Amino acid sequence: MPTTQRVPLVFAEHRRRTGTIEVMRMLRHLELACRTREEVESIADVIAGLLPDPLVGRLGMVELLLNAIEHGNLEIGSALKCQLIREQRFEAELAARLSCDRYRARRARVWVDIEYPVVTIEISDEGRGFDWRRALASDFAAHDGPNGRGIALVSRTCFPTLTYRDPGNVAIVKLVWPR
Amino acid sequence: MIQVTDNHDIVTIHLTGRFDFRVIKDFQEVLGREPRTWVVDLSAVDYVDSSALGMLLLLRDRVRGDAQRVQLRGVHGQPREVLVMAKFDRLFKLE
Repeated sequence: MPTTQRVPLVFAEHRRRTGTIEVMRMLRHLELACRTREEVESIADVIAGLLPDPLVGRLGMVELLLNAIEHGNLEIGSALKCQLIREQRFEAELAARLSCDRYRARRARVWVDIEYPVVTIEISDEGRGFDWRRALASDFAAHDGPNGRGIALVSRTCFPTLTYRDPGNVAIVKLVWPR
Repeated sequence: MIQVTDNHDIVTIHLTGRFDFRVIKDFQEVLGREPRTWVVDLSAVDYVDSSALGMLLLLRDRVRGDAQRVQLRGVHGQPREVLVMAKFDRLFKLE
């Protein structure tokens, strides 16, 4: 079974046996930080287990955290990412920036606040922000480059409440567990 | 995971599990080939992300937008939901 499903399903099983709802009633805050794409997946798996739909929640968390790292912390703009992908240099550039002095210490941070049944997630990065209003309003079909669909995907399929705090380096999501 | 079957006229890309940002490098390497028809087999894929959408658009560029030369097979579950949401059913034939 792919890891993607395995971890949320482990949480689902845990939920079934021990009643995550009871845990959720007691859990108040959770704070995590990550630097690399591998860490992004680990964090997304943990948080997905706290959300009503783990698979959808995982996708949303991965997309937002990758944005925070790639565009925020490592300052790879959308046009540059497009160019790097087309030239098959994106992975190398990512690795180079992760190890350079300017970016090495930067982290994406996730703050989860639970007031059951409401779960609020904030994802912040150390970048300069971006024109998030334009990104949220963008149409999937508006462009045909190999990147730039993450936010539209998240806001339409994962987290309809997705918004940002200016200047755009804090993403905010609010979810409500069904009663 | 990605596996490729190449019989010159048709290149079939078999993906398993996640079709996401981790597959970009391998997927792009496959795009260096020159078949008449491309088949992307998604029957064993249960999860796609925005990077997968980007990879499919690179494939579309590769055939200069000729939808007859690309087939997406076995599209189901979350991948189908995402592809339809992104209006990729207008760009590709989803089987």
